[in-house]
Amino acid sequence: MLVFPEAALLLNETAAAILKLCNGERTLEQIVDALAQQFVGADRQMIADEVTDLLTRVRTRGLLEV
Amino acid sequence: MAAPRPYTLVAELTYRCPLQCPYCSDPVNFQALRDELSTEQWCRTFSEAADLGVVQLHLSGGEPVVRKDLPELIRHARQCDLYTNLITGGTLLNEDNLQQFRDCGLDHVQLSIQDTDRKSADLIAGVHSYDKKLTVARLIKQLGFPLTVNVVLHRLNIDHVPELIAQAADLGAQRLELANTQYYAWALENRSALMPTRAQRDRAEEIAREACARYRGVMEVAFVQVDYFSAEPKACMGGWARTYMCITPTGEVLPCHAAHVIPGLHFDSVRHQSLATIWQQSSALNAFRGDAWMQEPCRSCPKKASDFGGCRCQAFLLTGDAAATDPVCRLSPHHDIVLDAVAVAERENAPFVYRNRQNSEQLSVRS
Repeated sequence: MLVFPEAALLLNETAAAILKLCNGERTLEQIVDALAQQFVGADRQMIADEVTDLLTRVRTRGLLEV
Repeated sequence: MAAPRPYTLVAELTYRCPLQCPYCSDPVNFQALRDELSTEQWCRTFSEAADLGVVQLHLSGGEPVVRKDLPELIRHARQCDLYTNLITGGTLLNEDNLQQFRDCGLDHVQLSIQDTDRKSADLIAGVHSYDKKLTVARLIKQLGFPLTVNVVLHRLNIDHVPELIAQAADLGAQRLELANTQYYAWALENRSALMPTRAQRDRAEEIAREACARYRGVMEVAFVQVDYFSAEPKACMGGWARTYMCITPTGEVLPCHAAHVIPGLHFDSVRHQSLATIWQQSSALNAFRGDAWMQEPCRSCPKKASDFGGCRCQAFLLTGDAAATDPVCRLSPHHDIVLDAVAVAERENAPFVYRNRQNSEQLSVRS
């Protein structure tokens, strides 16, 4: 669950795995690398698309600063 | 019925506050309610809240910073894995205590600001506080906290929404709440002095909507409606005792901060029972859960599952019956009460009754 002042987002497994990797230091590339290792056999481009999509959405909601 | 999972706990740590805002949501008789929970009682309550499923803790008041044990309370709440938000007027904050709160794990600060002009802001707060608040807002950001600026809107400041938005953006706020006054407690006493005109509201809402789009991703701009102007009632608290609970300084567990006004309800205290027992079994919390208590026009209304019949406290305050349809609803047989209040407010220009000890004592004698 991603909790912020006025609400909370119940994350699915994929989203949770992505956001866990956002530590303020990893680059987008490194996050995708880490996920590719974690989800063996998944297409790297698909992972990259999912990560970009999710991070764009949480950024638009003001929950992620870059 | 089985109690649902609560997500949010508002801990009103104290009713003490250096400000005197005339729209304060604290009870009008706050002066008589001084027997505050101890550090240990609050810590136990936070642990029990986390066990029940609560994820969000709002440390509120009064002014929560008057509690000397606030660092300890924050540390304990973080140990329970609660997301901690400090809701403050800011006047007692400084670099030292903010740093201490940060070291204890405080996640977020919500700061109230009354206006964009010193004279007007201090008139609303009833004390000199505007300059201090701006200094504190900058400190909050320097120490790396995410910041929500909360402005309660009313007749005196609602025309300043463009400046309020610019001020919050300049302070680096992540979120700006432009929250129109809701008429309970002190705000109900001051309704005729606070209510804006519809024209004022329409302009403010339009500007807020435009700012919401312009600041997307940088600062969230939230506009809370004047519910007296709506045709449909607010889904108050997302339903009575459904996901939200409020604990008063003296330990009573309420579904919201206003519910003590409803007569005949007995609110149990965390001094005597566990929070789990209260959440599940409290007669007051069960009184308006579900929809069995509803009357017409709510009972057969297709919207009853989404608006929950509006607000129980407002139904009581305006009609005398807490189980009535919220009179804000145009379908309520009492909707004229709301329309009349709006008309009276447009005509009158009453002086503020400030929220202070003297007025609290006087108003308590009256009731």
